[in-house]
Amino acid sequence: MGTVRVINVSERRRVLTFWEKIYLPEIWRGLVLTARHFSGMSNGMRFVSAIAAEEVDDPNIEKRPKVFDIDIGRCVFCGFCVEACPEDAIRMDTGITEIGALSREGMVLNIDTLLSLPPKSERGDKPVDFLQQQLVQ
Amino acid sequence: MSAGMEIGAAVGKTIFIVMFALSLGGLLTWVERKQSAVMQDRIGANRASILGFRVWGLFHIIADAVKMFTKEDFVPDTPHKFIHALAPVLSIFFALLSFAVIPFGSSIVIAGQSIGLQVADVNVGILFIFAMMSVAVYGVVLAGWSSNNNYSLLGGVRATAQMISYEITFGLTLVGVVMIFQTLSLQEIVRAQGGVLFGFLPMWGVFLQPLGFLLFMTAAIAETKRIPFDIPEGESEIIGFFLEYSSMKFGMFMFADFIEQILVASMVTTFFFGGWQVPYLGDGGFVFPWGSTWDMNTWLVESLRVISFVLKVSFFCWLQMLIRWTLPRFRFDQLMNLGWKILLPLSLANALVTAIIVLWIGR
Repeated sequence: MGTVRVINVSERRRVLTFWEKIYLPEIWRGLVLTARHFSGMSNGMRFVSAIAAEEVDDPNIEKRPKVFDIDIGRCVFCGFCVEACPEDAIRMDTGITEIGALSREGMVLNIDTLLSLPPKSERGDKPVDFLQQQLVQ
Repeated sequence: MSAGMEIGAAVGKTIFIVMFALSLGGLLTWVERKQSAVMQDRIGANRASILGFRVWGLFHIIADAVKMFTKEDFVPDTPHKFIHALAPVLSIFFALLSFAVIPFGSSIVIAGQSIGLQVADVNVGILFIFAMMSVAVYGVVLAGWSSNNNYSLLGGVRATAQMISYEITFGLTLVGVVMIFQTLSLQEIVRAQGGVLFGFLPMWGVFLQPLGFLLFMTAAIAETKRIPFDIPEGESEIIGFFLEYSSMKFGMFMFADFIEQILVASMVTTFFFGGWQVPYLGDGGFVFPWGSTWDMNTWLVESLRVISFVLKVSFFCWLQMLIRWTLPRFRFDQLMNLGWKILLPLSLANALVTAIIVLWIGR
């Protein structure tokens, strides 16, 4: 076991700029954002793209992903990617429900993290704690 | 003018403005749902249908009314049953009464008699509106008090604190408008906004009092007790002063909210956006700043003005809905901070600067 980092949460509070403090420009931006839904400039349904993937571009070897990031912070758990994946590479029935992280970057699970998981036959029903893994690193 | 005609004109104008407020209020119950749906990428109210016709969910207004009127009217175990029944009536009554001084057009001539398009052209119109809006808080506070429920009482007390706090800013922002136009009559204020600034800009209040407009809009939304200022309701914590109301009594509180929203839209239109004025439209037709003119029939001019008023009010209703569905709500201490520490000093400064400028120009 490694050491657990202690983060002082209050240090991360962002200092607001003057224009943010008087609210009005921000309120205006918010109103513009919501008002755009009336003009159709914001086209209804939107993909919440939580997965970024890139394949190895060497043509001589069997194709396999070079980058495969799942951003749990953006995922809305709609399950469309699971249905769409032809290789059954994305699953939502893994039993992994611990998705806590200490930062936004920590919410992105990259290919190494994902591959480091033992197959379900080995770990049984025991949940995997990504947060625990990050803290141990 | 003969007495009969005077009464007829008064009744006609009253019916027009009350019908305008009530029908727009009814429509707003639908707008509230449909607009939130559009803004949140949902389909929204579309279930109520008559013989398969849905007309974008417009029948939900009728469905709501039927539901409200046919539900059980539960009265809590309270010693103040009469006041409990009176409170929603007061709420909606004073909101509707304020429309008496809102001018929705200039004047029309029927049978040689000139009829001003305003139910009561009193020379203290602004004071009348303030009086009515202040009395409207009694409906809320009596509802909270007579319900014999701690949450209701808390909602009523919160409403009092909020409305008294914002009433001050509300009034002080209009001091600037009154100083510029030198009158308390709403019809006179609207007429004065028919001029042109710098040769091209309509002389609307918003161009003369930009800060006043922002402060007024904020305070006015706080007066309507809607998000982001829905502390008296506080759906997530205390439900609010109408907790013990059901059936149409509750409906009247909701409706009073919408009526107040229309009232605020009318007031913003009247004080800051020229009321019934159409830019460059005079009594005889359009007179454009680049010199060309377009003569028009008096009736056409008057219709354009009434339509202009209705459109402006509708726009500000839409804007209030947009604000209501965009912003999160304030905490109680934030609300008080905003009211007393930010809006009040700013409105005082606004009145002071306006006074100095008005004196400077008038000298």
